[in-house]
Amino acid sequence: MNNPVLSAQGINKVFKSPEPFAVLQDINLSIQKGEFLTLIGKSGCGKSTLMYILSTLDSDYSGSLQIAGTDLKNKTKNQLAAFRNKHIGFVFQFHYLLPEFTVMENLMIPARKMGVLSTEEIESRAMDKLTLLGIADQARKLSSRLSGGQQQRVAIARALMNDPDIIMGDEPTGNLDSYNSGLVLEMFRELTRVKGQTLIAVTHDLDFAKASDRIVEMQDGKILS
Amino acid sequence: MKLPLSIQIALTHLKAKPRQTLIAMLGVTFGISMYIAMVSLMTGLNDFTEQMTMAISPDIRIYNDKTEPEPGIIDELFPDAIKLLHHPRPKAESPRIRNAKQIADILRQDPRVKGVSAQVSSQAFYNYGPTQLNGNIVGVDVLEEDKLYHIRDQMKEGKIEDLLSFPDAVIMGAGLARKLQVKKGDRITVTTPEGVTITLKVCGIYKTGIGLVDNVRAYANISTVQKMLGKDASFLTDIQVKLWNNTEAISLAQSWERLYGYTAEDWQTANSTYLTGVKIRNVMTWSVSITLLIVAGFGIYNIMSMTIMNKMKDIAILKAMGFSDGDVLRIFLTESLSLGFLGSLGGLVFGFLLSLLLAQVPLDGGDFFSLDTLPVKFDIQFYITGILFGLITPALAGYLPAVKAGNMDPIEILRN
Repeated sequence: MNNPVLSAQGINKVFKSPEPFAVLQDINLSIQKGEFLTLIGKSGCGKSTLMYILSTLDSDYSGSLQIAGTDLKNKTKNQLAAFRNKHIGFVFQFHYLLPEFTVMENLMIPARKMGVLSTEEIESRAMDKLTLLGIADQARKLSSRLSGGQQQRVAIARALMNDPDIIMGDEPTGNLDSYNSGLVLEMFRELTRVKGQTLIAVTHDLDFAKASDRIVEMQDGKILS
Repeated sequence: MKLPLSIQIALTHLKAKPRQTLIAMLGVTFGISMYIAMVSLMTGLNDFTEQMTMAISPDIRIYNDKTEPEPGIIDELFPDAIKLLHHPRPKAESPRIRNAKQIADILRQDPRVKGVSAQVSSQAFYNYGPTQLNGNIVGVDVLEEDKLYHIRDQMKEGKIEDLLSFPDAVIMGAGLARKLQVKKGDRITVTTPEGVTITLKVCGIYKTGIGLVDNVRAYANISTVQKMLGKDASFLTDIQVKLWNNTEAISLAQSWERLYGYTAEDWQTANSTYLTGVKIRNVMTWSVSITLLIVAGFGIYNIMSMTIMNKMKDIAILKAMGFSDGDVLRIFLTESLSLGFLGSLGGLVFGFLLSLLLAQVPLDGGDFFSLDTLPVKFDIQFYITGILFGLITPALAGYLPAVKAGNMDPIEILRN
């Protein structure tokens, strides 16, 4: 297809300290809408570094990056932050929910940050996402009171709040037991197949990778396949 | 619930750790309440002493200063000669101000002048039965004097007009009267340094509340004192002036000194010890208050730094979700500002209560001041300054940690 949601060309990145080290070398990658892609590789192969660049958290690289038709090289930090808010959702190995806030409040934060919808609209949208992930009954609880599996599902719901173009996962099942990993994997597949979401996940879990649409393996800062 | 998001996050952080919040707040509360209590008391004291001093002393006093050494006639005639002169004595010179009445009349025309009293004063011994006291007798036009020092309000017994109706009457200071054990209507004997003795009738007793005056000074008519001293009706020794605006005293005194050729002393020179006291009290107030606030600032700096270390994960995810550096900085700056605001509100209340308490502390002014309790000034200005300091200190103390939080790199945190 000729209209990718993400396209990266000639990405190079060098770690300057302790001594210069080319962590990414000439990475070219383009990802279609609705694709479920996993990045695999040994520790230190640069897959996390690549993901941080693709997700705009890291802007210290050379090459070009386009997401949803927006050129992201040469944007200021604040512009990138606003871009992430609208277009990218994050699911990390740890849930990173704000412990003092309820599940509902946690979900509302990205939408309120965007500041487009009214509070009522945000709440009903948050309820929709929680229902989708099967944890609507937990909405009013403090996020720190939930089980690990539930917290990870809240984190996914939060990533979906602003209907992002891409969801970035950094070891999204890395901290879950097999039952909950299975659940999360199932959700990701449903999100991509049914909802047409695009998903990029870094993982060590080969079973997880095998269930994805496309596996990109990395070695020594280069893409193998 | 319509608070901006970053403020809501900040307040939720504070509510989640009530004990830590309270301790950080109390630091500010303590600093501000001490500042308010101290500045209220010190200003109260300053104002009280100033009022007292200004109540009894003129803004400018013109007199003939006999103590200034004058060159002898031999020095004037033979400035270059070698002189042999044994035990020269100062020339006997009268303290008289020539043309005092005319000078006083001219000064009364000056729009800057509130009142002028021309006086004749002398040292005197007061005798009543076995008691003999040293003091001052001042011959005044009592109505003029009243315009300057409000003697009418200070009368404990008798009226000031009584002085006008009896030529040989005297109004005594309360301390002097008590020591002599005289009452209104008694007759006392007054002796001048030259040995002249005269009998005067006590027609009233006044009390300024300042021992320096009450214990030594008695008022009589100008003519009475002139008669005592054996001088003519134009003999006057002092011109006392009150101004509308006493900050003009120094410059006016200088110009009058040049104009009239007599010493003109402004109130600041006359009361320099009291003014030094004011300065020292101000320095003390400020140094103690600022020290307390700096300590409170360090407390807030510590607690904010700790909070930020604990909230690193939150900072990382907030940044990933699209919060800018400025948003994160605002969250943590809001936290320290809220601590400061709540803390200084508490400080205002405690400071007010502390001032109320201080105003109850009994104080025995003795013979010198008529005071029952500490003089505490209640002025809204102190409270406004207090809350300003209570906001500025935490803003400064919280700024560095907040900037640190704003500049945190989310990748560094997420990698671990």
